[in-house]
Amino acid sequence: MNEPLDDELRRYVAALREVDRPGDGARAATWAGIDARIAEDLAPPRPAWRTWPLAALAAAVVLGVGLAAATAWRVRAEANVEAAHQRIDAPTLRSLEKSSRESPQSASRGQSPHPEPPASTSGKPEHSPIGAASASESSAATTPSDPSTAPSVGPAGDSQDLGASDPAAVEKTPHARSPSAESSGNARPSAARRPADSPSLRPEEVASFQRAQAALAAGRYDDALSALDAHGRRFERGVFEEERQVSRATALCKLGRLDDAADARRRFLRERPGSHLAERMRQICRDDE
Amino acid sequence: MHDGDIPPVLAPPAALGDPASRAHDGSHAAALPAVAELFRDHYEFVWRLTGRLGVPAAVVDDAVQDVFVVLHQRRHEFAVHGSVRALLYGITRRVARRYRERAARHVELVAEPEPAGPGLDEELARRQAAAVLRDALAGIDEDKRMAFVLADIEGMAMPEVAECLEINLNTAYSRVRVARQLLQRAIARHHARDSRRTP
Repeated sequence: MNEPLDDELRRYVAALREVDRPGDGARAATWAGIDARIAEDLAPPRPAWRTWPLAALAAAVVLGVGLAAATAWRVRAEANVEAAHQRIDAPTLRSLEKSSRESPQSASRGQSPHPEPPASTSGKPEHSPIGAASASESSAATTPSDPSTAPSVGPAGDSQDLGASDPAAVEKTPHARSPSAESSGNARPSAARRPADSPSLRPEEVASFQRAQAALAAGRYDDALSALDAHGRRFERGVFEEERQVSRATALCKLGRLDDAADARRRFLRERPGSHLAERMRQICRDDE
Repeated sequence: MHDGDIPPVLAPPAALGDPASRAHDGSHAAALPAVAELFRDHYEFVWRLTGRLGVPAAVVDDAVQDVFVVLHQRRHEFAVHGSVRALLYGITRRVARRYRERAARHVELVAEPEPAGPGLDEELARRQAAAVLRDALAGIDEDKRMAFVLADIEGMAMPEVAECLEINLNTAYSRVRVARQLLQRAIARHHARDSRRTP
């Protein structure tokens, strides 16, 4: 058992107790600090995706993806518009190009006595012109939301392209002006844009070219040359321009006019080096030369 | 108790009685009061101990925070078999050791007395006496110093002092007795120096 403090030491101890006291401010501040640190411990760990840098990064990614998608859509739309213009200029040519790629035999069909229509890319060669027109109309009417065609090209471009890609429709265009088609055109103003009525698919142009091809295939090269020249004069910048030049060079070669054939070949290759008929043109008269 | 001193907004539900902030429910251990309650009852005790254990005055408040935060974070590890103050003392001693190690030098337990205004001779004398005792406490080793602090300044019963210091009761008595003797000598030396200064 300790003895009580002596008076002097007790006085010092009392003085120390009096002086050594934390202030109320220090007390409140200390508790505030403790409270904050305890609150941090009690708070659930914040998911990483909630932190603002990651959120900002995610927002930037989303924005970037959105901009890229919008840009891609715009570029695609512009490409469709451009493609639509090109289709308007040469839909049948595109059709022939497609068919020649798909079937190597289709290149020689143009020289056959009775040229067969190339295989249909749609897989429905039995379509009647009316049916084709109706199909194109219905396609244009039912697929306006197709991003590859509808938004920028519009029904006209689609119907032209469909009509051009359907060889049956091309071959049977003379029949396209049937009463039913006419009545259909009268009933619906938009039917004036049907493939059969398109300037690029004029039946007389098709018929004229077919006659020239038939003469060439029959060995009547003079007739073929005359028919091709007449076709070129009548349908300047027509849809069969490249085919006409190839056929004309072939006729010249067969007629023995090798220089003229060579000139035609050089001019064609110079003007249309990227043509799908360029290689075919290069082969013309090679043996004869 | 200082219930009114802690603004309600500073007392989170968990700290004010959340079961999770209570002590473990050992069969032989009492439930540890919530941190807010411990702070209300023992803040000044911890604050004084922190200073007595050599924590620099500038970081005493930080050290006190650490004590109660450690108490909260590790509340499941603590068992109150006896004195809560003994538990607090153990935590405070470890926290204070860390702060002392951080310090470039040991803190002077004796702070210079603040100048008192005119007519405050009594206050000045109290501060000077407190400074003398701080200085004397700083001059003895920690074992004896803390035995004296707990027994004679904090007013703990000797069994509690022994529990805090983790020593047997007789050793605690011995340390307190020796500490008193050392302090009395230190005070006597102070008086001697003071009398030499003042003719």
